[in-house]
This record gives sequence, structure tokens and C-alpha cells, in this order.
Amino acid sequence: MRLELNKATALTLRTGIVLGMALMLLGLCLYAVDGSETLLYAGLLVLIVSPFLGVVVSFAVLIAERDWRWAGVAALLVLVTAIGIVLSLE
Amino acid sequence: MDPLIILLGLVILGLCSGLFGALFGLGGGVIFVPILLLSGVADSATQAVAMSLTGIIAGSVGASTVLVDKGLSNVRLGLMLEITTCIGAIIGAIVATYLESWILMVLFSVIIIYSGLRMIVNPERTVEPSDGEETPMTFEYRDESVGEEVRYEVQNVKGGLGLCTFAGAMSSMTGVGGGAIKVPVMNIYMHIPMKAASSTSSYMIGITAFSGAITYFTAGVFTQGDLSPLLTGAGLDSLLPCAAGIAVGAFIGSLVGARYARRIPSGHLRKYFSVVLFAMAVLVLLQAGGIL
Repeated sequence: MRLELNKATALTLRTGIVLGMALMLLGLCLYAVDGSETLLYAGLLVLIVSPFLGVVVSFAVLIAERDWRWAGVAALLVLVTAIGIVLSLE
Repeated sequence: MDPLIILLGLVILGLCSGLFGALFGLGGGVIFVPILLLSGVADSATQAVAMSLTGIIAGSVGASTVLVDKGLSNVRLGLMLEITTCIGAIIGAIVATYLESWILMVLFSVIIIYSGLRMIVNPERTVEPSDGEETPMTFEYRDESVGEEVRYEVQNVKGGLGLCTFAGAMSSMTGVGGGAIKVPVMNIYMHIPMKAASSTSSYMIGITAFSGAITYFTAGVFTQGDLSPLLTGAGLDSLLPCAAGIAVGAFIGSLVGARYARRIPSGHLRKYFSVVLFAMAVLVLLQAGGIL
């Protein structure tokens, strides 16, 4: 069974959510103490970009596995997502 | 009001959405956005959607740490369907200005009621690949409720991609439920087992929500702009703690939901899903009628 892709993607997502959550929880404490938003801001950003980082890592794994068909699919998704973001920023 | 009470409420709201997201592959924006607006936490629909997206991402990523890791989510398929979903969302954003949103919401309700009925009336039909024949569309996962490997071959790939374009367009136009259309498309039309379909959707909704959330983030929705009287009255001067509260709740809820999603028998999951679709249809119709 081809599970390396899943394991690597899940590991990326786990890293993202654990880091994001840690920053947010610390950030909430810090905000309560002196109203500083820095950690909350950083935590939210880490959390938001996690799903996209997962796609990028999936892409890298598929390249490493020489699974060209699905690597192409991942690359296309990165491209389409980027276009979507650029269009919505305008 | 005490800011801690507001925060606790948001954690609970996040918890529920995380649970739903992990179990059914639904983001929960349909319930999030009206609650955030009605409770007075969000000062505008934009703020409500931005916070809702944060919860969806935390829930999706949290659930994926289990569902993707254990192979229930089909990452390849998710990436592929996400392409056309994303294209659909772009088209939807352009077309939306020309269409009445209540018509779209009624259409959306009709579609999910139809999907729910199909899921109740028709038994699940998946295609088991013949031995020795590995097509690129053959996948498998381990069903913990019966302790067996389930192999399936995805059908109607092109049609499924097309329907995901439609799902993406609908959700970007109405602001609700890509998952509510995508899960039935995967299960009924592409013949993907319910568990794999809902888990794949759980994974996908995070990617969809990312595009929206990052736009709101860079536009300063979380850090700038006026806050609702409820929040300023509680002494809060930023939307960030609220978004964090929702995210923390959604993360915890998604871990619980994902644990349960692995063990629940596939047939039950399908039945509960259709009930959730009917409830969603009612909510969306209420919103379309301006009642919610």
C-alpha cells in the first residue's frame, strides 16, 4: 500500500497544527497579561498555511517517488490555488 | 460580558464544528457564520466568515493528522478533486455578482436534499477492482470497524471532476458547504466508500479554506477594522483571541471526531450524514428566506 505520501503529509499537518496551537495558547496567555498580539498573530498564520504546506510536501513526496502523474496533479493544484489567491487579492 | 465567557463559548462552537468536520467531512460554515453574527461576536459577515474559516482549517488539519495518517483520506484523489473545486470557486466568485444569492441557496438546498434521499434510498455501491489489475484509480484503506482492508476503484472520474467544479462554484457563491455537495458526489457518483469520501473531504476542506483565510489574513480582517460592541464591551481590542479560541476548540473536536470516524460502521456514517444534510438544507432555506 502506498502510504508514504499519507505519512509525510500527515506529519507536515501535525507539525503545523501543534506549532500553531502552541503559539496560540501561549499567545492567549500573553494577550491576557499585557495585550500583546504577536504570538496570536504568528500562531494564526502558521495554522492557516498548514494545509497548503501539506500540499507542497505531498508534491515533493510524489516527485521523490517518481509518481509523475500525481506529481503533476499536485503541481497543478498549487498553481490553481496561487491563481485563486492572486485574483482575490485584487 | 466577561471575555473569558465569550472565549469559552467560541471554544465550544469550535469543538462542535471540529467534531462534524472530522466525522462527515463538512466544514460547518452553515452553522458557524449565523451563530457568530447573531451572538454579536462578529461585527460583519466578513469577520464571521474569516473566523469560520479559521475553525474549518484547525478542524481539517486536526482530523487529517489522524485520517490522512491512517490512510482513510485519499490524498491523491483529494488533490485532484481540489483542483477543479478551486477553479469552480474562482468562477463562482466572478459569476456571483450577477446572481441572486437566495436562488442559489434554494438550489443548494434542493441538491443536498436530493443527495440525502439518494443516500437513504439507494444502498452504497462501490466497485471492487478485479485481482491483479492495478489501475491508477485503485485505492484501499483499512476499515477499523470491521478490521479489514477495503479496496475500491474510483468511477466516473471526469464527471466527478466536473461536479466538483460545480460544488466549488456553489460554495464560493453561497458561502456554505463545499463538503455537503462533494461527499455525495464522491460516494454516490464516483462510488467511493463513505468512510473514504468523508475523510477525503475532511482533508480537502482545509485546503479550500486556506485560500479564503489567507486572503482575509493579508487584508487585515483579523487585526484591523471595527469590532462588535460585544467584544469591545468585554475589553477585547482584536479579533485574534476569538479566532484562536475557535481554532483551539475545533482542533480538540476534530481529534475526538477523527477517533470516532475510524471506528464507526460505514453504513451508520452514511445514514447520519443524510440526516445532517436535511438539517443543513433547513438551515440554508432559513438563511435564504432571511430568517436566520
